[in-house]
Amino acid sequence: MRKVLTVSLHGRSYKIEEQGYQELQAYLEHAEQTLADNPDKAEIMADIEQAIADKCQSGLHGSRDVIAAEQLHEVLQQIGAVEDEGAPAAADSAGARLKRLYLVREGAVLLGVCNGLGLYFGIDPVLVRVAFILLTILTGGVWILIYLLLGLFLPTADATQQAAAAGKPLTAQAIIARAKQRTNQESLRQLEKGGRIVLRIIGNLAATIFSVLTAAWVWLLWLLALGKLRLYGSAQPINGWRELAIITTAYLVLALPALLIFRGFDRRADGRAVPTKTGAAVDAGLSIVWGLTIVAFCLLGSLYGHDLVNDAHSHHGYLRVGNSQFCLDHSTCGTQSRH
Amino acid sequence: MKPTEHFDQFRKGMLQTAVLSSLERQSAYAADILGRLSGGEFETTEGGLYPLLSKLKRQGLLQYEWAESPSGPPRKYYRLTDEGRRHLAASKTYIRQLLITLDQLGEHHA
Repeated sequence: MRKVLTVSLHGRSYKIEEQGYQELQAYLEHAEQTLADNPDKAEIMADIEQAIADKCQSGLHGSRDVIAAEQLHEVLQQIGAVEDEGAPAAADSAGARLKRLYLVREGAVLLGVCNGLGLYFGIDPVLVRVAFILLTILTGGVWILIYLLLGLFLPTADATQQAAAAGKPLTAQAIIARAKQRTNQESLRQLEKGGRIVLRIIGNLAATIFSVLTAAWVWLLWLLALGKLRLYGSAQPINGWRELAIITTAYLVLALPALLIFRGFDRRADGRAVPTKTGAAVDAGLSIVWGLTIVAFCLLGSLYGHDLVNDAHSHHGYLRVGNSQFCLDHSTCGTQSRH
Repeated sequence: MKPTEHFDQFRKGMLQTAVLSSLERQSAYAADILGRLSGGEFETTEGGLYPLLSKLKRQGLLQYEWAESPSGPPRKYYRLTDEGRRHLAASKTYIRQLLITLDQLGEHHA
């Protein structure tokens, strides 16, 4: 007994055995990928579908109404792999390189990060590995994080891209073999999928911790710049919640646009013009929070700014911003007042 | 590289001219074109032919109309345009010229 699926090819429905369906799907997927940059893609795909439908139809007669996997295999062999006339020599042009950064599992030592980088830049992966190990030692292990992040978030190159990178043409037989392998390894793939999800959760956790640490680190730098924190000597204490609120809002007013710009660049690098729903929501949320912090900063500044300057005046005689000191009291330092 | 691979390059380069040639006398469905090419050096498959036909149509070298076929739905019936005929003649002349040049190169250096 074999499972049968119904598909629509060029406006007609056909019953195909499941294994044949997998093969057909792999074939059409590959055709779409090959024709990705072809202006006539839709038309060619329709032509190919019709050709497949015609050939399948001719094999159906009498009471037979299901297309056997073997028959479909035969049909796809006859039709042959789709070749893109728009870019005929892309695969065998000298130094075929990946257009995007991928993980390349074939010949990889761990995740395929260095392998992918090597193919992307056209250098020996071994050199990339050595560079990564050196960088890990030099940065005291922090570089490992970058490796892991790349490993978790880069997409894995599929057979077409790998073949293009290796300069091998992808024949109909290769596609069909791949489709068969795919069916056989279904359970293995499920397992791998589960493993990848676990890895992804760990990666997201690591990324969150990393971001929190970065935010804390920048916050410390900000306090250092304002002179509220010093590595040696006495720091000016934060005078009550008002100053803390002003410092915090000023921090957010400066930091949020940086975060938004970073997210924008990140998306560019990803090659996706359209942001995902969550991504768009996060961006909108950040923008709104940014607007609110600007309002809060202005309000706090106009309400309490004067008090704070007076506080600084009475306690220390000058206001320190970054490396400059703004003198507020002639009697203490003797220079010209700035206000 | 094996010699057959060299020939493969020639064959690929001239396939477009072969397709135009097959339409010179008589317009045809894609299946007919495949039939006319089969058995010879330019034998090809649907996977190779359809992208080529689309490209030639985009270049204005051939045109198609939907025509009723004896069995099944209407199919594309391809014919050469005037532009296509001119291009085909020019291509053949050029290929002949290439052969002449090849011969002459051999004679000069013999």
